[in-house]
Amino acid sequence: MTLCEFFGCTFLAFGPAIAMLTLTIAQDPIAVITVFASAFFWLLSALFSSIIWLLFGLTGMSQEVQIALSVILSVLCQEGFRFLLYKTLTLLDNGLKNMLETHTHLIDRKLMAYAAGIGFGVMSGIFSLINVLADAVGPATMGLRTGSDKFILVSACFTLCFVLLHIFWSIIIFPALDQRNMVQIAWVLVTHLLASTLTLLNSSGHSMLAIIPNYILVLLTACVAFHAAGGSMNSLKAVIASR
Amino acid sequence: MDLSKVKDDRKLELSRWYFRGGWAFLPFLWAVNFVWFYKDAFKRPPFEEQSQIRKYVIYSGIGALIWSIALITWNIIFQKYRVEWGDLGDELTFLIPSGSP
Amino acid sequence: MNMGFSQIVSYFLLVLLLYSCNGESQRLRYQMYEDIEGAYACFRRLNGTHQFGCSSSRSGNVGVVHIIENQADSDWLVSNGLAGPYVAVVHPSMFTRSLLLTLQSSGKVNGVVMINNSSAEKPLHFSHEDTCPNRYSGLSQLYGQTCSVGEKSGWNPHGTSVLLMDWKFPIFYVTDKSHIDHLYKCYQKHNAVAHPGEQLERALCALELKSHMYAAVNSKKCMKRNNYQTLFSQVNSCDPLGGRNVWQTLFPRSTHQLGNGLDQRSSKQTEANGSIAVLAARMDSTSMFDGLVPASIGAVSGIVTLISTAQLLFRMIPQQENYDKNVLFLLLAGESYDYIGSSRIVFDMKQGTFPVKPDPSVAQPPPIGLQHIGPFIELSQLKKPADGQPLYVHRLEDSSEVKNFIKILQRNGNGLGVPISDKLPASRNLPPASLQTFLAERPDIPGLVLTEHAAQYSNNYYHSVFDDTASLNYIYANKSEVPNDSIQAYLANVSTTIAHSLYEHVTNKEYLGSLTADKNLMDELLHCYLEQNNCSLFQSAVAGSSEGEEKPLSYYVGVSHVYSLVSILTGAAMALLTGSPTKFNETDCHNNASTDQVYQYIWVSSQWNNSSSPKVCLQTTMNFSSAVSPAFIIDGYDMASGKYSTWTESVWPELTARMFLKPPFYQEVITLVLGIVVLGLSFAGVFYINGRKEILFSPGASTEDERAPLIRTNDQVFC
Repeated sequence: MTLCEFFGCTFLAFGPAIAMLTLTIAQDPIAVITVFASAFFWLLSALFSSIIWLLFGLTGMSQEVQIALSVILSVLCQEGFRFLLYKTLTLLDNGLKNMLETHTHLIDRKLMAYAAGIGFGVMSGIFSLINVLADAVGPATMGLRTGSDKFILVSACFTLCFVLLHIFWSIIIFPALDQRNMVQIAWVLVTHLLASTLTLLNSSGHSMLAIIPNYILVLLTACVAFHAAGGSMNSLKAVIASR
Repeated sequence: MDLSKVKDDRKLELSRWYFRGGWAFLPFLWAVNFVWFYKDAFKRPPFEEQSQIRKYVIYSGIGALIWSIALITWNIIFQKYRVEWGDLGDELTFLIPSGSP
Repeated sequence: MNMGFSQIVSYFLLVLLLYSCNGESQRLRYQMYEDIEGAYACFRRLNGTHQFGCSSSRSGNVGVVHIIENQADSDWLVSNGLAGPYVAVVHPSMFTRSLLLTLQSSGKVNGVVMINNSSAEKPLHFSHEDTCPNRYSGLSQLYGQTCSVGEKSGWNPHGTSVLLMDWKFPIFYVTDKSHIDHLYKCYQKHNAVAHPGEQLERALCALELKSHMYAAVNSKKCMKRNNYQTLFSQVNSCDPLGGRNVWQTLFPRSTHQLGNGLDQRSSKQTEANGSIAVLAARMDSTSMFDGLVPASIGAVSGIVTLISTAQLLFRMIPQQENYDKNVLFLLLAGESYDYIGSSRIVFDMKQGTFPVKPDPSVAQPPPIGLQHIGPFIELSQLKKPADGQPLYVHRLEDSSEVKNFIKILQRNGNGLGVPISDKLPASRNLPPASLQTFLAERPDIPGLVLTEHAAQYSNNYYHSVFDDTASLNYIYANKSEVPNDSIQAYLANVSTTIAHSLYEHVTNKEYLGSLTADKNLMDELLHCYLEQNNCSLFQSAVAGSSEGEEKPLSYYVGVSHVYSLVSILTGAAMALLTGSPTKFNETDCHNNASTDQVYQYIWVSSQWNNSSSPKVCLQTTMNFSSAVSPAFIIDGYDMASGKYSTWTESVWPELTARMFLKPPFYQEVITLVLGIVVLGLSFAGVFYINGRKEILFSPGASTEDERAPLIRTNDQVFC
């Protein structure tokens, strides 16, 4: 798909993530470490779900069942590891706070949630898109045998979707776990499952059918995350007024 | 090294040594000299060593300029005439392009 | 394959774990590209002053497929094509010099692919060689050019000289039927449109041709560049063409008396002038595409006739008999490229180093000089003439020796159904033949060239990929009765004619026996050289050491440091068919048997038609001599002088072709712009929100903890 498409799709899929990383994460070393740690946890979740796949002989079933089950399995593993990440970071934070006998956290809880989300999102995005991008550098596009030549663009759009979703889910779930807010935890789980299973529609060629609901989910989750991060209609009005 | 924390006499010494060093076919030293000490030489209110630093900065600047012009000219001539020079062109070339003259 | 994103995770790792050894790959790359295997590429050759052939850019030439079946298609491409650059896919009948020149000058063509759609017929004539092959070598030293000045059409009237031009794009040749089918289907589905403008709006079927050549300008320059080896460039950019000649003498010649009991003949220390008759043929040919040089008429006909003649002569004259005269068999390599093999032999003869470098301490054949050469008979382009037509004898001067020998040939030939005509073509020049290099040095050598053609080649596919089995009308008889009107029978008769004539020349008596060339041997030889080079004859000759494959040999001379299969197998076949058995076992045969330079010993199966027959060690006078042009041996030789062959071949990294779908230009632009816009908007958005984050988030400010500054300099804590 040539160099143009390669750069176009990279920027499309990872643009927000790059912006967030350079402008908000890069100056804070603890945030950087959190991003790396959460990326690593995402990788662990991928490994874990693959091991379960192998162990439980999921290869023996038909193609569609295999894929559907593996989607659900990997969603559950990812959320599980997100929870583990939360626990680890909280433990670390409290432990260091006690050890150094300071009264404040080393890292703002919200920033921690946000950085964790970025780590998860970027890693999941890289995993999904890197193979496609690597093959996109050559002069060809999909469509010679199967598929359409809009394939990489659609893949990049989906990746963008999921990167943003992961960030928002982490922002929602960390305070929710702090305050034991079951509704928000359930929201994260349900929307993650929904978003992932919607992508199953890709195989039957109905990408548009999958992508529009996904973007609606992104917007809804953004609103919930905004609220969970402490924003509200008032703060929005205040910002607009203060310009 | 943070230039803002360096004392003036040390700055003079640096500038002087950069100027001297540049004569050993190191025009980049002269360019660096010019860029680093331009503010000190021209933009600061006068101080003791400023006239000397200014002298070195000007000479370094001129030297760097001459070198740049010479190198760019040579580059253009080489790129244009390398093929015409035949064997001499090949002997001067470090990485001979494959598949073309 | 679908692309569910959470599923990719597990799938990816699973693929790594399970399918890495399986080879079955779901990688995107394999769905996007179709590699065209078995494509033959045109490559770059250079001589002392110019470069010829084709080259692509380093990363390959990409072009939209456009199939040219007739002139209208070509005109459409040149005047209407908008979605360029294109790769023209051409049928052989359209593959002409004028079409290629038109495509090159249009500036819209990045490559050409010739396809051999088997439903289409072979074009009537298809030769990319010059009309006057080897125009500036051979006798051109004496006559300016080797074709006479007034001659319009030369020896090769249908020659287009495409081989001798420098093309700016790569040219490939695809024969595989399934790839051609896919190419057509892809073209019909994506590229075939009514209006040229429509092509700009869709993804188009495209080809990428990679045939980058390292050498440039001419041999002189690139040989010089070979010497500029630096840390970063250690590969030669070109290699000289050449190989090995095969030579063999009828009677062994030795400087010292050999007392090994096998040699009853006393060694000849000095031979009279003109006492060594030479029977020669070329072993090589060329074509535009690498690896596909069938050369049935161009080379094989001469080789098999010579081998058969040699075998018959060895049977006819027992080794114990003692004659003044000798016969030298020569199979020459590189003749298509300004007579590499023969010019080297002439050079060696002048230096006194042919056949081996003189070394007084060991028994070796004494040097042969040009003065020793008696009748020089060259076999060239033999095929079965039309009914009743003769073979032609071309010669430069009608000296008495030449006339004599022609009479002997004619007499023997008439009895065998091989009429030979001594009528001279009007131009009185020799056709392109190795004899020319010998005559250029010593014009009084009595030489003649025996060919099927008269004044012009009847081979319409000279030096092309179509000079194959069909040109000779050859059908493998495979141990059954060989039909009398077949090419095998004819060439066997020709060999018999020549062998009887040489017998007469050597012994000064007419041949009264009944030995003739074996038709089945000729059949097998043709099968080996034309169809399958792992046939039983070759397998016997190399004692099953796995040389050879199930396909025809390629008769291109190749680069000098790689010994071509043709020379190896030909030498082995000559030795197998003419050698005398010894009692050595295998290890002795390879290591100890050879105590001098007069004989070679090879380990073969004893029967040529049965490769599993018991093995035996044969003693033979067959040997190889270097066929590298003197231009690359003489110090300070001026490559522009034209005295010797200066041909070299470029080095290349790979020759590949692949087919894929190319996205429309507007789509690429839109994607890039979209990406940049999203990136820009994200930066703007994040910057904006970051600047106002205190107001946006936690407006009510609850606890100290949550309002801790977001950035803490942690130097004190962690450093």
